[in-house]
Amino acid sequence: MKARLLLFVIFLFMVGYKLAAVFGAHGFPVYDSTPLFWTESALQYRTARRVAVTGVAEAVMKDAQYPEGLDVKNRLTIVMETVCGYLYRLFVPKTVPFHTFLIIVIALYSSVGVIPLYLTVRFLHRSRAALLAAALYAVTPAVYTTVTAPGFELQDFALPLIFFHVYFFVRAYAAEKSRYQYSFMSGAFLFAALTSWHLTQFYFLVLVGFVIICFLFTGFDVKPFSIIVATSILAGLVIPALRTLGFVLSLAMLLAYCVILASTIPVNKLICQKIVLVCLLVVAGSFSYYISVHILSEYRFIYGLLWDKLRHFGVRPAQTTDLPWETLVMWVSPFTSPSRSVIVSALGTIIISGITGAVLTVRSLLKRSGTRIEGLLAYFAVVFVPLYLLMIRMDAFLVWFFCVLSARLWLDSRKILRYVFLLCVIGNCILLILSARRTAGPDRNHLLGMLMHTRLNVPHDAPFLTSFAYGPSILAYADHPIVLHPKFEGEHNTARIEECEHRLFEDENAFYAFCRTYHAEFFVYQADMLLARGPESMRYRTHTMRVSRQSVAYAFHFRPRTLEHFELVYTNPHYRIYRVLGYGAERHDRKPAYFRVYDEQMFDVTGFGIIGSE
Amino acid sequence: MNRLLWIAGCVIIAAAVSITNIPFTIEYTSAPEVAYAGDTLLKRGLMLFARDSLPEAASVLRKALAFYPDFSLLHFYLAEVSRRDGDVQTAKKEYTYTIEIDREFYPAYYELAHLLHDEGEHATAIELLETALILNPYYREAYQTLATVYIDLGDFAAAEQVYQRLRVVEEHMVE
Repeated sequence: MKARLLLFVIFLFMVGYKLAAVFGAHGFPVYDSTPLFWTESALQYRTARRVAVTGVAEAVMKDAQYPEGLDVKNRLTIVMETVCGYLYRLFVPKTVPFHTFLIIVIALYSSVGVIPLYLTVRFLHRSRAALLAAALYAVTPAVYTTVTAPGFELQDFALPLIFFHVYFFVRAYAAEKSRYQYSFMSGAFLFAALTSWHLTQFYFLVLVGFVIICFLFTGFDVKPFSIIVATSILAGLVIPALRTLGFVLSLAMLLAYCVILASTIPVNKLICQKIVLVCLLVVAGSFSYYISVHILSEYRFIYGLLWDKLRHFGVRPAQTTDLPWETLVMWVSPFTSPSRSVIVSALGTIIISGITGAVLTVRSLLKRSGTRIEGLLAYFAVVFVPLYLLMIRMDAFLVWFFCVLSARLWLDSRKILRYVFLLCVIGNCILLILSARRTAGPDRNHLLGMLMHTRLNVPHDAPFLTSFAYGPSILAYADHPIVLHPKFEGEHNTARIEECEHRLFEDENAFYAFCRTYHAEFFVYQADMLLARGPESMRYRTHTMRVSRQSVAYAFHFRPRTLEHFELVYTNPHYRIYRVLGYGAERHDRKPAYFRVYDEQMFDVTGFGIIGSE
Repeated sequence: MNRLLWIAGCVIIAAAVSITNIPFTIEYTSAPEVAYAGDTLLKRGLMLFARDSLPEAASVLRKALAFYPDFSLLHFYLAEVSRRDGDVQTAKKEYTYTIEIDREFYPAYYELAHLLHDEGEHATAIELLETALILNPYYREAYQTLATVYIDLGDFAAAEQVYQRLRVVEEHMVE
């Protein structure tokens, strides 16, 4: 009872810290959310708000991928948005601003991950170690990154579900009784996670990897795992988004089928079983490669990114042309590698306790005194280390598994390890207190200025073209249709983004043709479209480190009056809004406000890789 | 216990399936009207300002600040209203805050310099005007005010230099 109470206190601490970080941030807009969330979070916020206001979500969101619309039902997972929308609609007084409600809900459900952590450690060891592991989790800065950004991210919703799935998986493989019931629960949570977040299937791939290793090198009872696979098949068949993405034929699922198939060979033919499995794995891998290259391009992006990252050891090559646009557009935060300072500031002392816990576990496994479940947890920790070094987003998994393994320190006979564990908790607590709270995203002042101009001066329903990252802000906070959005699952969306980004560095007519094709009436230009040349910039990923003065981007930035088909209607130091003129339409040039960032004479443009004669 | 686990699992799956399938409408519905009360307040505040109803304008703009606490334009307008209403301290505070939020907002530097010059803080006023001119080298009013500050200080040579700078800029603008 006392332990549960303490766990509840830890949970409250996590929720309180998140709320304090968001609400306590300087300039938090209490009554109006503009432009609190951005990029994917803004799109998700918009869907949730729509459910809250109307009680329904559009199956095809016409405004999100104008003009044909984004096939939300068959392409996206909107469980989080639906749950939040309905909760607000049914239970919350409308005097509470929706974004305030969302932040509270996100803080609550994203903290639930501490409960399966506690339960897992308590099941494996004992409650004091479990409480300390939970405390370590609660004071690790990485746990708070996405929520305090502030973000409305799918992963924050799906991760507690995945962690509950892990807990029940552990129970299924550790218990003598009720194994199938536990594995069904594990499968049910995985089912829910799969319906909430596309990337859950990549976690599943890691789990299947463990099952394959166990199958090849130890005796492994496949039945509980088969139940999990069965629930996943069900998800792949009944969830429209998973059906569209061919989840039942994804690499993770194909490998899972291979294990189950191989297990049907009688146990007395062990060698044969393993040879068959290896052969099946090769076939499944080839088939999956074929699917991702030729049939379902959505998988190409993530697998392509992983492959290219591995090829270059996680470091972007000096020559941008060495990597395709598809990889570079994904090779941005949160899919970048963490720097050394980020690793230390986000993980802190958990690096010490987690690695020590993993070493102790591996040692006991080598001595054959460890259990398979300990092997599973060590496996996850070991696999998520390189994955984290490749993709910073994996920190949520790494921290959770490191915390589970850290509990080993408390159980070791050497007292010093107990002190180390306690010091790690205290160390991260200090780190959390001292860590600077930062809000992620663009400069809100200028974004708000642009959005407010749009709301007050642009005709209602006029479609907007802007970069895919900023589109959702216009959709969510100005209610204008957008041509591009950041959901790469959207059909034809990536091809359209690629085309738009390339045409921006071509001549005006090419870009104008693009605008006309998608009926864009306004174009929002961002100063960094031309000036930024960093690894996350548009120029870097379109391989245009040298831009011609004749390009339309140059004119948008420095010479708006030379444009034939675009009229500058608003400008601030970060954004410019252009009206896309109809064929033969007359321009009404007004003198724009001066900002030195757009003054050609302030720049040595050749230093920015801009070439060509005046 | 066993049966409970089966039931719980089924409930989770059923809930996930329902949530994923039920809420959709296939009909296109235009976005529900979202009232942006902050925008309405800002517009009303500016209208009252234009009508010279200064205390009311200040009150309305302050209410708008609750919606957009860190919007530089709003703080700037509030400073303008306060200044016209004779509340110099608030005006100074708001101009300063505008600059803090938006370092590129050169009219705020200019207006704040004016106020400081009136209060005899010439050195700071010069500094602010020079910053405004860095941000906008074509800011005619800022050159003129800067020259006036130098003249008030009796530094005619410096004032002359400022006029020369203005002349160069104007020639360039004609070109």
